[in-house]
Formats: sequence, structure tokens, C-alpha cells
Amino acid sequence: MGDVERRFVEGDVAAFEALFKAYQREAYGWIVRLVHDPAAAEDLTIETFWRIYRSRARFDPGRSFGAWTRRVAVNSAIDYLKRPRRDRHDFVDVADPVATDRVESGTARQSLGRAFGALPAALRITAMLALVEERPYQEIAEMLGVSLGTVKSRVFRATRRLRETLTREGWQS
Amino acid sequence: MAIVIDDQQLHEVLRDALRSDVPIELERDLWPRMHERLAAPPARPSLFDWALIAAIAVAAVAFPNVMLGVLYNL
Repeated sequence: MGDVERRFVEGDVAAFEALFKAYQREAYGWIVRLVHDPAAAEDLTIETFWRIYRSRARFDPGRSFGAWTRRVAVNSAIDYLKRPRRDRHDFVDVADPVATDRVESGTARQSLGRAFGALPAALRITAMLALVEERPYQEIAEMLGVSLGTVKSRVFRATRRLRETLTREGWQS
Repeated sequence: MAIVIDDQQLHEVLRDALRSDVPIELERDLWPRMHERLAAPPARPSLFDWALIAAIAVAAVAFPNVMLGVLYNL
């Protein structure tokens, strides 16, 4: 274990500050990708490190501080996305209406945006990491603290639900 | 006529729809806010919290069977 991590576990605020400054950008980057709202992402970054500081005694010195931070950050984002929609930015609002040349996707995007916003938070985060951010399944499993099988299952279920929505609206698989 | 879309296209449309235009770079150091939160005194129970605890305690003594039912349904 590095000296900074050891001092952090002992409650040294200067060590915590060093770790905070080293990892705040990475944590913010993950959170803002998931919640699409810079102001909320800043609040959630603070919340993430607050949780980390409070549970510092449980930090496993054999593991990466960065990986732990990512995990707590993603969990903070999940908690945020579980809140009622009136309290947060909705995915529908970020759908870009410009069509691509692959498919007539303006309507499909809006439908997908709505369907995605209606997914349970755990499915939504997993699908976002796997299908939008294109992160490896193993990395997602470590971030979320679930098994590889759970990640695959969530991606499958999310894709199926999205496809069902598109099918209802006249698109066919 | 329905438009046919395969898995690959579905994922591409999803990426197009959900990839954020929001900058992912943090524009300022958040440490001052974090430090402020660390320095804030811990939240203390309000008078209302104490009153609620007292009411629950009284109800538990006066109506133990009702409390069991409430606990069961939590």
C-alpha cells in the first residue's frame, strides 16, 4: 500500500486531499457520462468522495483506489437515477434529433431515448456502459460489483426491452 | 411498412441517441466544496425527530400488537 493510501485510511485529511485531486476528474467523467448533467455530476462527485471518506476504514489496501472510486461513483450515479424524474435531468432531453444516413433514426432515437429513460436504473447504467460507452463486460462487472453473467443478462434484458419498444412503434428486428 | 433494424443498427442508434454532448472534462477543482463538506458539523436530530421517536416509543408501549403489525409491514 502506498504511503498516501495508508495515511488516508488513518484519517489524514491531507492524504485524502491528494487522492481527491488525483481522482476527481476521473470520477466526474464517469458520472457525467451516466447522468448527462454537469451540475448533478459535480454534486455526485462530492457525494462519491464523501462516501469514500466515511468508509475509509473499509478500504482494502490490496486493491486499487481508482477502481474503488469508480465503483462508488457508479453507485452514486445509480442512486441519482433512481430518484423521481422531476428531480433529475432526463435522457429524453439529450436525444439529438438529427438523423443519420444509416437508418431513418430521428424517430428511432426519440423512441429509444424514451425507452431508455424508462429502464430500471441498474439496467440503464449497465446498458450505457456496455452499449454506449462500449466498456468491456469484465470492467463493468468490477465497477458495479456484480458478476460477468449479471452484466450479460442486464445487457440482454435492456436490449430486449428497447427492441420491444421499437417494435411497438413500427420498427422490426 | 415496418422498417427493419438489426442488432448492430439498434446499438448504433442507441449510441447516437445517448452519447452525451455534455463535456466530460471537469472544469474546476472541487476540493474547496469537498473541504467545506468535511468541515461541516454533523447533522443533529431536530426537535421534530426527537418528538417522532418519543411518539413511536409511547405507541410501542401502549399498543405493542399494533407495533408488531407495523414492523411486519415495513
